[in-house]
Amino acid sequence: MSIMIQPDILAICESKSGDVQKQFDVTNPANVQSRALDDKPALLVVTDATDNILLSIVGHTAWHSHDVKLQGHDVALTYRNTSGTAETAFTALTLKPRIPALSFTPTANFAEKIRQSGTAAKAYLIVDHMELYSRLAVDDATNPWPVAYWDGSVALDVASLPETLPYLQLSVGDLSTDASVRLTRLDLNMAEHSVQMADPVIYLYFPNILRDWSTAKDELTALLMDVTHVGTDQADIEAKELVAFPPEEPAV
Amino acid sequence: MADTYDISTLLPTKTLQRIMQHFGSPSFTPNSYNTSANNPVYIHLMTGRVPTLSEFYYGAYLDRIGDTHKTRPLSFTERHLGYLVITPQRAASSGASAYHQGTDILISGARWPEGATFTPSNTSYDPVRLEPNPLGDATWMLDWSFSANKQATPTDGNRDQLRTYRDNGELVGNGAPTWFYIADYAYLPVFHEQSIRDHTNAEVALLHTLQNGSENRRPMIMGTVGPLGSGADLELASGGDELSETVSPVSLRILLQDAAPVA
Repeated sequence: MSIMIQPDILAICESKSGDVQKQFDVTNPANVQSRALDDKPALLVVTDATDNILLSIVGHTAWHSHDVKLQGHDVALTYRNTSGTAETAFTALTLKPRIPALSFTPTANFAEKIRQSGTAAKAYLIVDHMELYSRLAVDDATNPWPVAYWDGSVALDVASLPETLPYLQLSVGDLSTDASVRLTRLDLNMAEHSVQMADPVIYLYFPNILRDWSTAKDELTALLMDVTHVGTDQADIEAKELVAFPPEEPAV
Repeated sequence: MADTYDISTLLPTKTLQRIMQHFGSPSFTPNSYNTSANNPVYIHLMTGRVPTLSEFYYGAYLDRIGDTHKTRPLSFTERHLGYLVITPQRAASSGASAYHQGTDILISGARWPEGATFTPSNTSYDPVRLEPNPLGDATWMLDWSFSANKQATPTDGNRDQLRTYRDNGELVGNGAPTWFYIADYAYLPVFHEQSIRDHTNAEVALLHTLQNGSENRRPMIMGTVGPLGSGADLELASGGDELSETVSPVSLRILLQDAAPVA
């Protein structure tokens, strides 16, 4: 075995109210680099398949270390808490790992200005590590985002983004999908349509960060189910108990 | 959202390393204790079966009859041998369990981004920059070298009761520390304790699951403990092969060279 590290250590290390960041004066603008991704201005750019900018939404990022809504990682079990066959002799339990999530919260949740007509196909989340740009509006009077990232006059070229503007490509879909960015419509016409992001906050989960955790669910399930008095439900436990502790044969 | 992404453009290995090395590599060394200027972390020593990767990941720790004690399951608290304090505070050594920077331990400080300078939150304790070990590089998440002179007595823990169990021949092992975890806090995590019983109402296992809240008490890093030469993640020059009142760790270095983003 080697050292194991909880993946949500990323959120713990970056939380402004956490013990790690408490050593820094996080209100001092000179200290912006003490955090990489937490509470940074961010720009969500929705493009067509060839990176032409259709929409741009300003907001901010934040780390989350719990309250996981990601499906498929739960371990469910039932265990016996007392003797007998009553339903209350058994307790059901669901275990969830702490998968770190990065959220993007748009500053405004209203119809977005369509910059160009086209079909939404991709999105890019651009995070402003140095906190140079506005979290209020792309064209903010004091610290606007560079126009090349939002106004649609040129295609977005993420490969040319500086290191201080890390980005993530996301999927885009309509309300019927489980894409990261869900829009009220995908075919956008500047003259006729209005469009809005369906979710007030986008959560991006990193289930396999630091290592491949995909075997953990099966491993924990196997460890727990190995206990005779733990099972998938009451009937499962009673069946296992019958095998492990067979009733005595009546004397002939 | 059921989505997968290429996060290497958002969280390149360099950024991951930079974020994580703040845990255990403090940026400042204050001259006396202050909760905000200071950034101590705690090594908790545990005995019994070493948890699996999945128990650690889910924060669900199981102890069955035969895991630690021969005839009954032991609670997380009952398996706790106490904690050591790793503090960047530069002061004369005090406290039997405390390791002070420069006196009892050499702590490698945080690596700051090129050209960056940070100001501490509280300057009244004269915090000065704690430099990183010049022999290291960005892959070093934390690097601690413990003084060979110090015999530390862990604070709290269930050593007395475990010793009684051991002397009565009730333990599976000898009560020596088998694993450790590192947390931001001295107190144990806040658990739900589930008592698993058999059809005769006898307790056969205890399952501890983390409650929400008290985030800083949660185990963030775990590894094995053993005596010198055992190959354990944390080797103890003394107190590694028996249930001892004192321990003396040698060093702990955690590397992140394999911490590539794969999400």
